[in-house]
Amino acid sequence: MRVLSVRAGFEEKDIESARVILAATIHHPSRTVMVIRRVGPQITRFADKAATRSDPFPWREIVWVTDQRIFLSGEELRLFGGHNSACAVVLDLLNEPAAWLDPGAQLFDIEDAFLGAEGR
Amino acid sequence: MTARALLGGFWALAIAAGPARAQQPDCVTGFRYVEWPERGPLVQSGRPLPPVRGAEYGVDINSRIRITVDTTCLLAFLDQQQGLPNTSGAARALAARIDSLTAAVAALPTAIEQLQATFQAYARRGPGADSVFRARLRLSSTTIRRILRAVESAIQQRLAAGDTTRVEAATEAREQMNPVLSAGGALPYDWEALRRLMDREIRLARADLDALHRRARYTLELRAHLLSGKGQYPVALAGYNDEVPCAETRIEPIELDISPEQLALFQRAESLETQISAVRGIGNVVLTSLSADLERIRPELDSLAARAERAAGPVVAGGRSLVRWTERDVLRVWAEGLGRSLAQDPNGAAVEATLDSLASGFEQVGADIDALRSFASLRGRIDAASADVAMQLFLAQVDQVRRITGDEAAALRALQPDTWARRAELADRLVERVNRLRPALRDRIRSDPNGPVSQIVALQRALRQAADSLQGISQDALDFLARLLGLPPAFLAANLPEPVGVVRRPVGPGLGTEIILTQICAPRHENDVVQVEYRFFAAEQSIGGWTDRFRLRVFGIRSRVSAALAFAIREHTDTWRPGAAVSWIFTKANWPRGTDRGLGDPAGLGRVGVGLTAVNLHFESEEAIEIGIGPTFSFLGDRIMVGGGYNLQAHGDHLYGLLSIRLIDFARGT
Repeated sequence: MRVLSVRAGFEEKDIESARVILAATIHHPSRTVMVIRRVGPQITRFADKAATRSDPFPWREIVWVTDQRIFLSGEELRLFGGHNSACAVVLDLLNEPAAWLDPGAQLFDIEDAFLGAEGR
Repeated sequence: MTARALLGGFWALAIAAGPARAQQPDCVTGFRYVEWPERGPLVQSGRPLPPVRGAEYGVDINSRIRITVDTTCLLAFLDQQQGLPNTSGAARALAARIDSLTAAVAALPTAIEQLQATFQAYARRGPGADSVFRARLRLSSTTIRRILRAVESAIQQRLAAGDTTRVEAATEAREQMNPVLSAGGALPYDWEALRRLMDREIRLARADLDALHRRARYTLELRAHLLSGKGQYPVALAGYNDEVPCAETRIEPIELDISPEQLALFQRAESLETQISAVRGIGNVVLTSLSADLERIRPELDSLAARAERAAGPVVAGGRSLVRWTERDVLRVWAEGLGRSLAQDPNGAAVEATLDSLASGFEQVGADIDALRSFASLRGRIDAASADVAMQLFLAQVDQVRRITGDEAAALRALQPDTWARRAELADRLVERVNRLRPALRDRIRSDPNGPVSQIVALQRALRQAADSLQGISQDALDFLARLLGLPPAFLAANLPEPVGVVRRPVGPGLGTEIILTQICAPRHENDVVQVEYRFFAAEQSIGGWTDRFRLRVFGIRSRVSAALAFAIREHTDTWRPGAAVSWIFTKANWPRGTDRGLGDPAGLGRVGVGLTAVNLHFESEEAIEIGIGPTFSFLGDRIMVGGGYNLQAHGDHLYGLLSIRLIDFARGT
């Protein structure tokens, strides 16, 4: 899991490098990517579960964007659309959003989201 | 077709398996037959008979037939029959769940293989290999997702059917999937945990289904009879009746001695040969032979025509009200128009099921009425006719019925009271089930001037009249007609003797039994039929059933000794002289395999045999003893034999030609 954050005092540099990482991960031709957003205890628990369902598969990648400033303008809207309660989106191999997950999602929901995106 | 499409098709089938269960080849009835012959190539493996409800099979005359029961399958069938919406709806859902889980279990090895292939493709990926990886990933993920969803959905349905709320059931079901998805380390899934979950859910669904059916209190009576030309005999069925099996009697395929029946025919041929003088021309040989034989049965013909005439009048008159509903699909089309209303009524499914049975039961009514009309017209025409002309009229009439109706059995079926009584029972059942509907719908159906229910009283009366008036036709007359038409004795299976101590057993495990043909307490002959009748009950009420039939055959190489009236023509002459003949003929019938039901050519019309014929000859003088013997070819199942031979006692011109027509064995219908 790649955790992208922005340190105080290094905002510009961190945001820039995080954007490069995010773009590279999303555009990898053989990866199913989950983008997690926001922070908090519930999001942390979610990220742990997501890692459980991602780690055994080399083609699954998780990027946790802890600071919304990392998203390019309009990018968050493209990824999450109107799914306001969603803390994560799974992108298919064509980088299109395939499934959204709320913080309360269980292992089954996460796995189902990955499989759904991979099966498209 | 892509692999993805194939997989999609597989799952579509698996998902549709629930409602379509009764149509699956293995789940037609829930009963399966395996024939265990005592010789031949299938002696070790047995011969599973293809499951078809109301089927006829050909089995070897010395076999055992093992009957096994798939209870789940049978219960699904009974639910469908009974048409109780609550029971059948819940049962269908459970059956669908079991089918879906069973399909998931079956797909598991494929899923594991596909996932391995995806890992391998990922490891090898590089320029040009990405597309392979993507295709494999798509395939494996689709398969695994469907398996996981099937299991999660099954758990959720089970929990939701209990006290748990829908939301709680969904949460709980997902949690129960955790052991599969948190295998830890590098393991993507814990396949064993998944297998255990699926096994558990299948077990629980089956238990629920059994409990559901126990509430319906289905019971079963099973009867078996041997139907032969000599009569109808109950057959011992362990667990279903108290008939005592008899000592084993094998029918030897290689017959060396002349049987008592054939001996009687030989004696009849001897008496005929003294009545018939020499004839000229091969056509006259055939006609003379048939006429002599038919004279014996003239009284039977007169009796049958007279009884048919008496019976047909009221049936044809009363049957007018039936005609409209017997036209193709009229009843079904009317029933379909009610589909939505019936679906909203708790007892609507039962009415729908009965209408469906009624439509099926009435399919042959038109043909049967035509047959009765046809027989009724015969009476005046055969009074003054000679035996062979009467027979020709009779057969022409039957042939006409066959052509008009396109139905081989109509002529005989129409004359049987049970045929009409069963239809009357269906009409009764419709009335009874319509009465269970909600008042508004009930009254709407009752008073629909375009529907059958408003006319049901006339319908019932006509059917009952038909059954009552046909009671006058004797079973002997029907036997005779059936044999004349070459129909199997199964068509005569009315008023069968009740086996001793018939037991009604609850539908559940352990319903299997066995028919041991060699232990039937009556003489068996080739082409006799063993009939197995299933009668089902729900809470003591009859809910129908069906009948399967086993035609007894002799497979492999066999020989038969048969008597005949032969006509022999000596060399250098043009007259054919009659003589009683005995033929020893070898034939072969292949053992059936696979989906072959083993009936082949039951009448043996395509069978050619080869053998020897000994014949009484009268070339030198009427009194002298002359025996001829020679090779013979038999055709049409030994009905016609052609050959030649050497006259052992002649002083000259020893060689002769032979045409022999087997006498009709009226006791056996052969």
